[in-house]
Amino acid sequence: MILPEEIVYIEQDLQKRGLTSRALQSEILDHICCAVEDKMAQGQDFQQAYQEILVSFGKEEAFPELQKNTLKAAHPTTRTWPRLVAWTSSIAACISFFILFAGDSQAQDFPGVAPLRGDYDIQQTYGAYQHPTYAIQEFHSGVDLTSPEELQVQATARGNVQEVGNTQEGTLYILVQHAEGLQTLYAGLEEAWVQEGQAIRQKEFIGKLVPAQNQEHTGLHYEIIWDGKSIDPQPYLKK
Amino acid sequence: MYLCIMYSKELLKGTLQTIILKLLSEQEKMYGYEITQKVKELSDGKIAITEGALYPTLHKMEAQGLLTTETVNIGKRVRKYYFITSQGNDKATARIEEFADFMNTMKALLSINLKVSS
Repeated sequence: MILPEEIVYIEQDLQKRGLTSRALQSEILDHICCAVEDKMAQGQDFQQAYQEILVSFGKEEAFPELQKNTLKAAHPTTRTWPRLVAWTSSIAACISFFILFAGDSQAQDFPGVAPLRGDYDIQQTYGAYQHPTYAIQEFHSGVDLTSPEELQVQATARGNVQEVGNTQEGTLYILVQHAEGLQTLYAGLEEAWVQEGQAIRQKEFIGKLVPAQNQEHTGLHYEIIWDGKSIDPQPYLKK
Repeated sequence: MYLCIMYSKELLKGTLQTIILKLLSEQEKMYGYEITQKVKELSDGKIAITEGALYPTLHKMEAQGLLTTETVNIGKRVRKYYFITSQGNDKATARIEEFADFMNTMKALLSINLKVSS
């Protein structure tokens, strides 16, 4: 049987080897402990067994690689649309918005303000980018905004709250339904002040952001979703 | 993708999900290590699934709604058990039938005499 201090040893060693996701850490820890126990049952000592298991996992980058692949496989929101599709749907959305913006009373029904009042900074724009740690192409499906003074988030158009939930990072998100096929998403929130089904006005405050120093993912992640596909929200943020 | 002694990569690619679905449709719950051991046993040692292939697949299947999980405390560690959902069960049946059909097609194409082992 594996000893408690040996389990702790493995846990710390895995962390050092790049397994930093807490959820994945416990699952892989259990896997490795089982494998080590099997080997020890065949007569090997702990270190011998553990070293052999590590070798079977692969080269140096085996653990970061495993973590990257697992998180990528489980993450539902990373989209990698072919550029043509993203471009075409952006154009289609622009044209539709332009036509429908004709009447001023209808302006409230479409995103025409930024979700943060006053001055804001764009931390990350919409579109393809190189992941900071792993050399893979990622797609940022919205825009990340921060503001030095404003933590309150406002709805960018009139609509109904479709969903309020938790993101993978442990923050809250709010999904709002506007006209048919049009939605906006606000993620990175500490508090949500609306409920599912609630009708909201344009510029109504719907929640509050996690303060900048408390999270790794700074600011508000804002998306405009047209017919199920995210489009670049930047043209629709009027400062 | 897997570490496999007998079969080529191309053949095994895409079958991992089917294998997992089948195992979990027959056994109520299994954890990762248990799955690798069961596959090794049932395949007579011919197929050894690597962790690098297994965990991304399990997590993807969970995200797709084919599996659900439950974590259980076992002393100093936490064990994650996987269960198949009804959606997963349907997928299992479909995939297995598809694979059987595939085998028959390949058998015809390659003129193989499939020996049915007892």
